[in-house]
Formats: sequence, structure tokens, C-alpha cells
Amino acid sequence: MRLSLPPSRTAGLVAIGGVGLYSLTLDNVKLSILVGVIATAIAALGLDVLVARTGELSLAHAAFLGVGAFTAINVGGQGGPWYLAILAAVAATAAAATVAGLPSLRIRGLQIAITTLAFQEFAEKFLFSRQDVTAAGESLTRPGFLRSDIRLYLFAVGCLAVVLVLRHRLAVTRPGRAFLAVRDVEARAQSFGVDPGPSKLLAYAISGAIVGLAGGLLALKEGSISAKDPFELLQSLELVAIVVVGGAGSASGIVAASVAITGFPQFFSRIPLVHLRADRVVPIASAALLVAAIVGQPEGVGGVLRLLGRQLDRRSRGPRPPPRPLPTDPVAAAHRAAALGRVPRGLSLRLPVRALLEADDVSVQYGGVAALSHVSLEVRRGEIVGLIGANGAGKSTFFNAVSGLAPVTGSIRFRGVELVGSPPSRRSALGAARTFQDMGLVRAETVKENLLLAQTWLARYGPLVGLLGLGSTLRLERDLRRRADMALELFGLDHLAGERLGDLPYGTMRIVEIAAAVAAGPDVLMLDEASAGLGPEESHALADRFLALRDELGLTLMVIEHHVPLIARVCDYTYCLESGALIAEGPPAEVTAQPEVIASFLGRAAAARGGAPS
Amino acid sequence: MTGPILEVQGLRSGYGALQVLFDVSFDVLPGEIVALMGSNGAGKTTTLKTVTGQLRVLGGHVRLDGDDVTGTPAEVLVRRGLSLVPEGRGMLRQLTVQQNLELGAYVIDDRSKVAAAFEQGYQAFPILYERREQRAGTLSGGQQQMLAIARALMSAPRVLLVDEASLGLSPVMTETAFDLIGRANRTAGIAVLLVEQNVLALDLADRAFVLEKGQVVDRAEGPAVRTMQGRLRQAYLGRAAAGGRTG
Repeated sequence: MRLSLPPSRTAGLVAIGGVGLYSLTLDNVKLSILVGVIATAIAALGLDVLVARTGELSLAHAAFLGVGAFTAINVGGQGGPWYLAILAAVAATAAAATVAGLPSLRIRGLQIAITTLAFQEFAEKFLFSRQDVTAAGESLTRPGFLRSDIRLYLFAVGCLAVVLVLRHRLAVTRPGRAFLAVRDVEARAQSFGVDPGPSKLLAYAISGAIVGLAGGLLALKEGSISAKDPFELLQSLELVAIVVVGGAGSASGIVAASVAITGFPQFFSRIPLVHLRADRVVPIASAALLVAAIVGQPEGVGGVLRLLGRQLDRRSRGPRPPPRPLPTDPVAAAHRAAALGRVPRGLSLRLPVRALLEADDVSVQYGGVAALSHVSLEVRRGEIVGLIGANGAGKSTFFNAVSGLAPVTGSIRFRGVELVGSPPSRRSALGAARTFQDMGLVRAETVKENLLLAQTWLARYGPLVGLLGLGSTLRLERDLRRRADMALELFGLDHLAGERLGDLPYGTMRIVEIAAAVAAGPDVLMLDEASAGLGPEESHALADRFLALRDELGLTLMVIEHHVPLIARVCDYTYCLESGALIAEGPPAEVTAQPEVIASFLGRAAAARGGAPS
Repeated sequence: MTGPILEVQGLRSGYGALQVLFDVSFDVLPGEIVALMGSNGAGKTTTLKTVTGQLRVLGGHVRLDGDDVTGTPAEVLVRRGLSLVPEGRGMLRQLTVQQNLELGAYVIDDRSKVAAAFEQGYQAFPILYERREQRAGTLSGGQQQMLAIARALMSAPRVLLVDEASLGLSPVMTETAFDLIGRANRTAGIAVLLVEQNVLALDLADRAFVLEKGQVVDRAEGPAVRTMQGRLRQAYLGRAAAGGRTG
């Protein structure tokens, strides 16, 4: 049998195996300590779902841990079986975290951290001081098969494994990707079909459910928990410290940090050789470690592990691919990508309208400034329509009006359906996809992940079903991956699928964004400054692809563009805006010959060169 | 005869394991405009990041006024008279136009000089004066590019590095941006390095270098810059025409 794992994976497996074997030689006291460490690690992994995926900080995770533990003991005390106790702990904590997360619908960042602090205080001072909440005197009895410490330890390891799998599922399914989009490009996320509000609450619920499992595990370990036991603010801060030292987003880093920060002081009550008391030294050492971690390696233990892994793998991997799109035959590639156009939509939308997109007397006011005034235009099915005009003329504002990101008066109909008033996240499902001038994608993620993100509206499965991989989830995800591959190939980007988006040159990032919009299976593709960052040669190749998209995939395009040769070559019709109002429309050659257009957009020198600025 | 104000020799650098620059050499003489041409992914932005100390140098030298400043961070370079207009304009979107310009003058301690810089800046860019209380994030693309150039000029640099001034600008605005850069060069004698893929930049340039796959592969000066412009345009068109069949 040939082992095809990358060296970093092999090293990781060997390390896990080594630790696992070593732990089996430990005595019962130490095993019991380890169960506590694992519970802490699970709680930290739950907190990390929030920190890494949504960028928000909670100072109430110790309170959540308490909610989980006390719920389990209450259920156990009423004579409920152990598994019911654990399930109840998970559900109750998820609910508590969702409630604590409600303010995130309106506020972000530091303010959120402070509102969670209020929840922590409430739980600490009120909930946990009530005997009916803490179930004093009652206890959760372990089932027979978990009586021995080694079995409880193995059960805890099993819980940890479940959480790790869950985190992985989160990363490869719709909800996890939606969290990232809301974190980095909240307004833009809506154009992928992500609804930010529910998405945030779901993140709190998942985070809470994981912490609830940790609480249930603690309850199983202790049997009963006295009110004097802490689920206090200090422990919340400790969880935050573990996530920071471990490195947000890195499961292995966080587990390692949990062992270092909560395991060591209990494991070695005296540090061998120097005979210092660990419970005094470790807080100081971990404080120093915390500072050192943030200063030296902002990505924490996880960052160090990633670097090591990368160095191990580099020897086995070839040189990096060129960061530019590869030349491909656009017509043949479009034929291969024909399936991208076949996207199921509601039947009622198949209306026989001549114009796919109709704007009627559209105005947009920002403050007292009219960014768009009384613009009426139409985009017919199967056409490439250019939108030109000086910087600040209102071109992007028009796109924002169509995608629901600007306050509009007037009417915008898409396939005959009125868009004004419908939420932005619904419009992508109607079939309008777009790109943004300053990138509406997540730079920290890979090219492929971003293409999956752009297809969020196509991932029609519920979050729970998705996380558990049930029903049609796996098939749907496979479809999304195939669509992403097709779109990447169409734009000559297949060799860059695994690269981090932010590492690519600007022009290439822009093409990735166009590919992502195409992958979303739109009827009309709205591209804001499509060729910015590209030289004449690449612009020309891009224009070939536009023609292929129109002719082979039957797409309709609306393109904001400054590159006149590209407009002249691909556009069937062109509109020119000036100070928010239309000043010209018609075939590109006619529009670019009009004196007003020359004055406001082309410039006389460029016009004299026949509209070829570069 | 003075030597070059900025001299880059055999520069090599990259991101982590990925080497992007293999051998980049060029120089800028006092008071001249030099164009560094290259297509998407050729290493243009990487060159500027390396010169301004934002990336680790793997080899080669950067000299400012003959002094070795290889790996010197941007905040030191700006005090020594080198100013950068970054790609994507690098606006502080939440700050007003005025506040952005104040930041540009951060290294100047003399208040009267700052006031003079403001006056000059607003004179050259009247639209910025009109919008001085507006947040930079609400400006249009062209206005942001003007602000980026104006901000870089606030520190009274002797050499100005401009990363793709034409990016995202309409043709007429591109001309305006190049005009403003040309004027700063003529009136204040500021040496300029224009890093571009728009061959229009060669209209301004006294000398030019061509960057390809992290290496300088061609250079021209005087009348040869014009022939280079024709050659680049021809090369692009030729390859583009071939690309019409194969991509």
C-alpha cells in the first residue's frame, strides 16, 4: 500500500498517536484531570467558532459552560438518563447563547464583547446563586459503562472528536462559509444570498451547543457541582486566552493551548527539578506566554504548527504555479462549462419579457446629494451592455440600486419582477450576480472557497442537515464544487484553486471575482470595472470570455468599464452617465463619438487616438 | 553631475516560499520621470513593497542618494524624501479628505511648511478643497486617486513612487492623473517612478524599464521610449490577436 498523505498530516497523526498511547499509561487521577482539560478544550473550540468565523468576541462562555453543566445535573437529578442530560445541556446552552447573541444583530466588535459581559454577570450573580438552578444536593449518575476513569476519558476523547468533525463540517458547508462572508464583507454577503442576521445567530447557537457539550461532560465527570465552583468571568477570560494563544481558527493549536494553560498546573503540582509550585508559576508563565504569543506569532500555536507543516510539505511539493490566468480556448471552455447556465429557478419567473432588466426613473439620494437622478434604461436578454462615464458619475450606484444596497426611488424590474423593496439576499436567487470595484470576496480564504461562497444561494439545505451531512447535502456540495471547477477552468484559473485569494496579484483577484459571479449561475452578470488591473493583453482575453459567456452560455452582461477598446469590441449597446444622469446611449461607436461623452469620459487626446487609451 | 536619487540593483524578494522578484535593477535620476512597465503579475507592486521595506529582501540593494537603504521601513524613507502612492489608493476611508492630507504631512514638523503644503495641494486639486470635510470613503474612484497623489505630495518628497495611478480611472481621469504627476515633476522637480501597465505612462517618461516575471527585460531612454511604446502596444495587440484564437 502506498501512503499518499502529505508529510505534515503524517507528522500530525504520529503526534496524536503518541499522545494517545502515552495517556493510556496514566493513573486515574491524571486521567480525570485530562477529562477536565478536554472539557476546557471543547469549550475553547466552541468559543473559537465565534471568534474565528464571525470575528466576534464573547466574554460569557464560562457562563454558557455553567448553563450546560447545571442543565445536565438538573436533568440527571430528576432521574433522566445520561444521554438525555447531555442533549439537554447542548440544547439549553445553544438557546442561551442565541439569546446572548441577539445584540449582534445591531452592533459589532467591542460593543458585543461588553453585552456578553452583561450575560456573564447575570449568570454569575443571579442564576448560579439560586439553588433550584444549581440543583444543590442532586447529582448526575454516570452510566455503568462510563464508571471507570479510563472509560470516561475515552468518552471525552470521543466528544472532542465529534466537535472536531463538526468544525470541519462547518468549514465545508454553507453556514460556515456564510459566517466568513458576514465577517469580512457583510454588505456584499447579501449578494451571494446570505442573510446576515440569521447567520450571526446561528453562529452563536453552534458555539453555544459546543460549549454545552463541554458543560455536560463536566457534569458527567463531577456528578454534582457545588455553587462555589466557578463559572466566573476569570474562566471566560481564560477561554479567550486559550483561543488567542492557540490561534483563532486552529483546532490543533487550541487543543495544545488548553493542555498547556489548564493541564500543566494540575498535572505537575511541583515542577520537577526546580521544585517550584506550578500553581504559582504557571499563571505567571502563561501570562508571559500570552504576551509572547501575540507579539511573536499573532496566529498563536496554530500559526507555528501551520508554518512547520508548510515547511514539511514544501519539499514534497513542486514549485508554485504562476499567479496569472492561463490561456485557454474560451469557446471550448465555455462549451465544457455549459452546465453552469442550468440553474433551477421558480417557474413563475419564466415570464416572456423583452428586457431582462428594466430601470424606470431610478433615483438615489445620499444625504443631500443626488447620486443618480431619473435614470431609465433596459438590458435585453442575450446582450452585453456597457455602462461608461466619468469616475463618480453614478455607475456603481446604479449597480448598488439593482442589488439592493442603495436607497432607491423609482422602479427596477428584473424578468418583469419588481426588485425595489425585496431584500438583497433574494435578488441573487432571481438571477442577478455582480462583482464589486473593491472586491466583494474573502481574501483570507482560498480561490475555490470563494467560488463556493458565491454559490451560497444554490446550497439549498438547512444548517443542521448540512452540518450532519444528511439528505442531499453531500450531492449538492459535490455539485457546487463541480460548478466552481468549471468556472475556474473557463477563466484559466484552475491552477490557482488552492491559493489564498489575498496572495494573488490585483488583476487576477478581479478575474477570480468574475469567475465567482459566473459560478453563481446568474442570468445577468453585472461587472463593476471588469478589466481594472489588467493590461491590454489580458483585457483582450477577458473580452473573449465575455463573448463566450454571451454566445455559448446565453448570459446577459452589464459591464462598467473604462477600457474603451473592450467596450467597442464586446458591447451591443452602451449607456453613458454623467453626474448621475444619462447623457448618451446607443451602439458603442456612436456613443464614444458624441462630444459630451468625449468631454466627460474619454478626453480629447484619447478620442483623437480613436478611443484607444492604451 | 549627480548620481541617481533612487537606485535599485539586482533586487530579489517574494512572499514566504514564493519568490516573485528575481533580478530587478533600475534607477531614477533627480528630476526625471521613469516608467516601470509590466503586466498583471509581473512583480510591479512587489517591487514597490520591497523598495519601501514592506517585504523581506532576499538579495540586491536599494540606494537613496547613494546611501544603502535596503530593507529600511517606509516611515524612515518618507523622512528622507521618498513617498509612495500605494495600489488601490490606501485611503483611510473613515477620515475626511483634510485629515488624510494631514497624515500625509505627518513627518513635517514645521507648521508653516504644512500650511504651505496644504495651500499648494488644494490649489493643484481644487475638487479636494471642495470636498475637504467629506469622508474619503465617499469620494469617487478618480477623486480618491487624486487624494492619494495629493497626500503623497504633502510630505514634500524628492522622489515619488506611484503604483498604477490609472487603475480604475476613466480615460479622461487617467489623463488628469498623469497631468498632475507631470506637473508636480515640472514645478517642484520631484523625481517620479511610475509603475504602470497603461502604456500612456510612456508619454510622460524620460526613461522606461519593462518588468516581466520578476526581471527587468527591456529598457529605453529619450526617443527610444516612444518606440518602446509602439513596441509594447504592438506586442500586446499581436499577442491579443493570437489570443483571439487560442485565448
